[in-house]
Order: sequence, then structure tokens, then C-alpha cells
Amino acid sequence: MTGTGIKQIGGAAFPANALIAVVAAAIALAPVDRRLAMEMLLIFAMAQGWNLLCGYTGLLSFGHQAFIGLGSYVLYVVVNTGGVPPSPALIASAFASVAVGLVMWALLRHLRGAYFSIGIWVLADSLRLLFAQWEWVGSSRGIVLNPSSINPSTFANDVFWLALGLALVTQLGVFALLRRRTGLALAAVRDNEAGAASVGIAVEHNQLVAFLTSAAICGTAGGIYYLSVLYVDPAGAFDIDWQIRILFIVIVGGVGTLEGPIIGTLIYFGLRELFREAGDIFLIFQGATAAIVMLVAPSGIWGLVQARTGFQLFPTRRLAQRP
Amino acid sequence: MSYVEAVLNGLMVGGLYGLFGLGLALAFGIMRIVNVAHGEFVVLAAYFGMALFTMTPLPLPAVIVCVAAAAFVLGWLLQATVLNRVLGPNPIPAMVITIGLAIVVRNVLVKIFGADIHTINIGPLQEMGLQFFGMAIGVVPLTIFAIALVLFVGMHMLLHHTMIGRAFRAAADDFEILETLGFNRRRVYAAAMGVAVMLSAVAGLLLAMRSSFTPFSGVERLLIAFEVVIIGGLGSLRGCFFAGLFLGVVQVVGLKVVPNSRPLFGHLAFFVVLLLRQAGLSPLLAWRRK
Repeated sequence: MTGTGIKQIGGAAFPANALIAVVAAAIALAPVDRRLAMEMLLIFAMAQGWNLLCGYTGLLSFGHQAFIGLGSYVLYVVVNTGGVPPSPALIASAFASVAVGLVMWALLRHLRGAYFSIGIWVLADSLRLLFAQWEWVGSSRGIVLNPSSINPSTFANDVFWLALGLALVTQLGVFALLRRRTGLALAAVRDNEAGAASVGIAVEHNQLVAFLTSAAICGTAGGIYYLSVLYVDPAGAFDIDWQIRILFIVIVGGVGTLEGPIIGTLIYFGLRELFREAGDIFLIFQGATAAIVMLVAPSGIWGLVQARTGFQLFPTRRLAQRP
Repeated sequence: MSYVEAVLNGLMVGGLYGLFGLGLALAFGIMRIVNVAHGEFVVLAAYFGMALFTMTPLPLPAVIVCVAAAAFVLGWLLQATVLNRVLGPNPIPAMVITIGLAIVVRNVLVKIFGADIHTINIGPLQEMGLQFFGMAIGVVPLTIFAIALVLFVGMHMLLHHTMIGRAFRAAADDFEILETLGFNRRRVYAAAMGVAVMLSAVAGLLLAMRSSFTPFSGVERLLIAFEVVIIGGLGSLRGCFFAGLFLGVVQVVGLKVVPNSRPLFGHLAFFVVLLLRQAGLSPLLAWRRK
């Protein structure tokens, strides 16, 4: 990391990591509504994963609901037919997401920009339609989780701990990744693909790493979410609304910042609780807000804060070293 | 319905798919903007046409003209007031703005018309059919196909034989040169988006006369348009037309083989084409043209 000139990072990792630990402990110990906290943690993890892809490599995906759906279906199949307990079965969800992500990459690797965004949407839609046709996984009726695989008395707490663990691992992992050379390479790829390639960065390799990481996170988060619901169907698990939620959170919070998805998640859930009675109006509001934020403040709320103050809660920026 | 009939029906619906693709390709080719709300505009046109047709005494051709004019204005305004602000090499802002718009349009439609399935019933004409070789071909699908064909030919004339059409093509190639010739780039873009939305709106209205729609049909329409653009190649009118026909046939025949498969077979055909390109087999695909 040190020694070769301009790679000093402008801030230590320890305060931010300590802060994450404190927040996680507070969430774990405070008497919060664990059902809501679980949902927030999971959607935050998905948003942070998607942000790694979009904000740091410039690949705008409209198809990450594919991994949410896949992760949940794989979990159900492994638990119901394999007799595996739910928590270890989540590893299968992550692996399946990575495997399908690789296949998707093989199909989409030459598509860039808008072609990638909509190409992956077509893939996600195809998966939804396939699962709706596939009799073995209950076609459009979906599957119910085998009730004997869970312990009803601790179940609500178990899924909460899983969600907290995933959110924690995601935040710490992405933070650590961005502080390594990889982070610098990813940002270079986002800002100028050709330029990055010309200084020797393996563009496609870096994009693939980010893509598969985001796929694994979304797959695991989807698995935990649907584990908590005890029932999964293609219309819900592969719903584009997942993607819209993620997009709203990242865009409003600040795309390409580690703080953005945290703020975005808090805003999203705050508004959702506020508009609880409003139904469709909330969706209309969500779409309009994302569009307006992109128009007037494309770097989102945290982007504005950062531009004004230069403050980074999670320092990943490199400073030029004095000779 | 025999397979031959399915193929014929697919061809006829495919003409409209070609128009969906053409609208998307026009905006993408000229402004480098992917309008994610494309599908929602298609569905919006269907609802607007339905409202006009049932609530006013206007005859059908007048309704089509009204919808086309309204769509042109909508496209123009969208580009002039919003999308012209986010021009540039980064495609993300325009896509995020238009997906936001898509969500708004979709849910406003749900709010006004409900989430139920609708069709436009144009009266006794709907039932009429022509018989030949023992097959029945509806008058309505045939007319719709003819209109699609006319629109394609019309677009070709517009792009190649009018000042604004030449400006469109020039803007697609190099907007800086265009500006040195005294054109206002933003106006050209606004006109192009107007035409793009108009084409898709007319196609959407025509499609609504032969198949049902809900406020949620937009995504399906957008993905079809996108597949047409990828299969047909950007910047080729003929490519869009034939890709539309191809997807139409695949989808209708697919629906006959597996009912309820929705647009699955269209998606699969799209992947096959993508794979063939990846495997370096595109020379095979292009072989016919030599």
C-alpha cells in the first residue's frame, strides 16, 4: 500500500470500523422492532452490493432481483429436499448466485452501458418466467418452507442475527475491498474504462469481481428475507420492485459512496413508515424522487455533504503524498 | 390455430414489435439515451386511446391521430425540459431519470384505471376475417400490419429525404459538425424524441386493439423493444423491421407450444442471438447479406 507515491489513504480505517461495531451492537442490544430491523439490514446489504457494482465500476444493473429470487429458491430447495438447516443452506444461495452470475457474465460481457442494464433485466425476467413454469419448484404457486426445519421459538431472532451478520460483513468487506488496490482500480474503471485499461488495469476482471460480489450479497440477502417469510413465489422473489427499492436507496443516498446506502436505507424506511396508508402514492413518490435527485443532485445526499465538507465517514480516498 | 396461422399472426404482431424497437433505436442512436419509460409510454398511449375512443365520439382514425400528436408533444417536452440537461457520455443519469418516470407513469395508471386487464373494443370490425386456403386472418391484424409497414416506409422517407431526417442522421454521427451547420442540437434531439415516442405510441395503441394490456405491461413492451434493437442492430430500419417479425413469430409460436409462457420464448431467442454473436458466428448470420 505504501511506498509507491500517491497511494496513502486519507484517513484510518479504525474509527469507521469501530463505529460500525458500535452501531451493530446498538441494533443488537436496543429494544428495536426486530422484524423491521431485519428488513432494513437486508435491503441495506443489497443496496451496498449494488452500489459496489454501479458506483464503483459504472455497470448499472436493472436485474439484481434475479439474484434475490435465485438465492431464495436455492435456499428453499436445499432445505426442503436436502434436509439441510437454513443457516448453512444460505451458503448454497450465495454460491448459486455466483454461478448464475458467471453464466450471465458470459452472455453479457460484450454489452456495456445501456445494453448491459437492459440485457440483465431481460435475464432476470426470463428467470422469473422460467420459475413460474417450472413444476418441480411449484411453478407460479411457489414453495412453502418445510416447517420442521426451523425452531419456531427462536426463529424470529435467528433471521435477525443472520441479517445483522450479512449487513456487517457486507459493510466491512466492501470498505476493506475499496481500501485495497482493487478499490482504486474499480474507481478508475468507472471513471474511464479505456484510460484504466491503458495503465494496465484488468478492466473486465475488476468488473467481474464487483459483479459476482454484488450477486452473492443479493442472493444471500434474498435467501434470508424469504426464509423469514416462510414462503416464496416467482412473482414476489423476482419482482422488479426489489430493484427499484435498491435503485432509490443508492441514488438518493449517494451513488459511489459507502455512506450513501446507509442514508438511503434510513430515508427509504422513514418514508415508507410515513406513507404507510398511502399505497400507490408512495411508489409514485419513490419514482419521482429518484428522477428529481438524479436531475438536481446526481451525487445524492451524501455526495452533497462530501462536496461541501470533504468529510468521509469511511475514508477510501487517496491523497497525493508529498515527496 | 394451426402452426401456419401462428406464424402469420406472429408476423403481423411482429410489425408492431418492429415499431417499438424503432422508437427505442431512434432515441438511442441519435441522443445515446435509453428511454426506460419507453414501455410505459406504449401502455400510456393504449390507455389514452381507450379513453378517447370510449368517452368521445371521435372515429378510430381520428383517435390514432390524436394519440400520435399527444405522444409527439410528450416526447418533445421530455427531451426539451429534462433529458437535454443530462446529455453526455455517461448513460446512467438519463436511465435513472426515465426509470423514475416509468414508475410514476405505471402507478398513476394504476391509480386512474385500476390494475385490471383492458382491451380496446373497436366494434364489429374486430370479428371480421378473411378466408384463404382454409385459414382465417383477421381484418384488424392485417390492417394493423399494413399501418406498421407504412410507418416504416414513412420513417425511411423522413430519414433520407427531408431536412429534419438528415439532421437526425447527422446528429447520430457527429453533433458538433451539425452545430457548425447552424442546427440547434437540442431542438433536433427534442424532435427526434417526439418522433420516437410517437412511433411507439401508435404501435402501442394498435397493439391494444388486438391484445389486452394492464398498467404493468410496460416492462414487457420495453424488453421487446430492446430485443428488437439488439437483434436488428442499431441504426438499421430494415434490421428493426425484420427483428420485430422474427420476435413476433417466435413469441406467438412459443405461446402455442407452451401456453402461459408469456414473453419467455422471445427472451430465449434473444439469448440465442447473443450467444451466436459471442461464439463468433455472426459471419454466419451476416452471410445472407453478402
